[in-house]
Amino acid sequence: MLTSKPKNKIKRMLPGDEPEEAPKLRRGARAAIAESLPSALPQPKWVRLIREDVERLPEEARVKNIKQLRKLLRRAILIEHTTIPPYLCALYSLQEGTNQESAEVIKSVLVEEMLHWILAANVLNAIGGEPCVNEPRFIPSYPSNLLDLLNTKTDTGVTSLKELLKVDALSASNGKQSNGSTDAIEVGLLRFSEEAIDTFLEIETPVPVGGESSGNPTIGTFYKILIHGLETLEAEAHAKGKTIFTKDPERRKRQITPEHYYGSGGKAVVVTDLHTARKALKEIIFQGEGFDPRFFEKDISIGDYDEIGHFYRFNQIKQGRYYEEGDTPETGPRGATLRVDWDEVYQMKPNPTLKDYRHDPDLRAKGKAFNQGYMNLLDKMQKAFTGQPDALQEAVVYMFELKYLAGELLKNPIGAGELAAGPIFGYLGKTK
Amino acid sequence: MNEALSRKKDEEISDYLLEQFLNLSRALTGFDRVDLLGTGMAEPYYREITRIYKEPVIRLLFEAKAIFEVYGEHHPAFEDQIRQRIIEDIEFAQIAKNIIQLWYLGSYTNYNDPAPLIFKAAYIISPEAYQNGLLWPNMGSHPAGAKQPGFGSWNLEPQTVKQD
Repeated sequence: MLTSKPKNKIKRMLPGDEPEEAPKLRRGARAAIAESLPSALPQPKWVRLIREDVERLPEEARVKNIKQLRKLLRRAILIEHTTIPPYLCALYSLQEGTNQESAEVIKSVLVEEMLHWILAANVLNAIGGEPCVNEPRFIPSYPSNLLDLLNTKTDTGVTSLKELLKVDALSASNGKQSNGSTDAIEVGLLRFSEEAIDTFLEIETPVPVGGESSGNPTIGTFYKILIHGLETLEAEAHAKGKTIFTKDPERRKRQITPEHYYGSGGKAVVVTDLHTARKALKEIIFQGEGFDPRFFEKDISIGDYDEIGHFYRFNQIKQGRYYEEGDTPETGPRGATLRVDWDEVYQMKPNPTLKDYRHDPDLRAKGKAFNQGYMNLLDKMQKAFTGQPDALQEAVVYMFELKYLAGELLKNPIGAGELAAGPIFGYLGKTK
Repeated sequence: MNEALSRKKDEEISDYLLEQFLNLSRALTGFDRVDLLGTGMAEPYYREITRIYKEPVIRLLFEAKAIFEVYGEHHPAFEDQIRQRIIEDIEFAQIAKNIIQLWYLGSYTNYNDPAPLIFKAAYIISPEAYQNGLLWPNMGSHPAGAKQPGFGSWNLEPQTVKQD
């Protein structure tokens, strides 16, 4: 489409340039065009399945524009971030030399959550968003409600994801009330315990067989909406010869590369286009919360995979058994015994706060030192996400420091009570 | 029933003595209680030192308790008292030296060994004791081969978490 302004004409003739004016079409018509045109790349099966799932949800659950998509990705970064401290607390609270199998399971999930954190930031940077990890509203507080986190109310302008799913559930079950739906899934900082593992299972709940219709929204649902939005917006942009992915070289320098992050839970994926964005998001949902058996070409047997979803990994601790070849989600783990000593654990007070340590100035100072280390870590992460990926290495140094500080806290009783102190992961103001 | 009762009493006594051991250790090392407990080594060290020196350790703990009670740790004469009555005391000197050495290095030296100092019988009491030596945080470092600070940390300026 050409306009009469010669200035624009010249500009549009430059290679790689984008048309300045978008064709003004009604939203419905625009979507129809996007659907009818072939997208940039053929959609893999898992993307097709996700699109079908989201298209069954009410219109309100879909991402409408790039701004909403960026907001969702910022939320995704927060969700990934939120899962890390609870897993760390469970891991730290294991007494040295005990529960080594459980420690390995938790560690394997933990490093993948860290990778997801970085991948979500890479995708957000790739579509021109601003990651933020060191400001109070983007720092998780504990206990927090996972459903609130998943509630995309502020992001997509809908009432709540849960409400939308309820509608979906009702229609799917022909008006029968869905069961298993609760108002809150509390995520907190707990010592290694059955309660903690139950929470982890809730965090990592896989998409139930038969779609979203069994009540609570899962992180998987959240990511499905996000991925659907990314695919749709890119297809729309593609139809106009544009892309939602940034071409700005300065922006592209923000990507965390495999050189900066490697070895722990997989490799960082540099995101520059739809193909690499899919790769990054696939890594997140296949490893973690969005694990959906339908994504696989053949019938799933959990034990056949080298790497099983987080839910199934934690389930091994709960059941005290490993998965083996031939096991399915229905059979549960039927393999070798996984020994769990629930008692060989530091008796950390659930969700400790600095206030709990007020009677003891030295303990309070130690608690504050931990928070300070956490703030330093987040400041480095922020630096790493906004143009200085090298800062990631410094962040790792703080991570080790936090580990040792947490160990010291856990060995200190609170007052004369039975409970021990523990890491707080609290906001403590900006450093420097 | 009686057995359970006496076991409970024993536990109370050992808790009490351990508390005195922590107080004395604070005075001898200059680290606070939270730091000492944070190493997770208070009990193993107390057990090791009583295993080696037996009753004199109890006398030492009560001597320290007396100094704490009469002077209090913020009294200007407190340190002098600790020095005179414990570190320079004929009976307690060795024990105090070894308590300090345990906390800082995780090691015990038999000062009764007639050999020159560097050849005196000495050992590190456990791998954990080596790793949790106070020497390392004191010099802003980490024990070689343990508590690794992360790849490339040697390339960065020393990072100290400030405590107020």
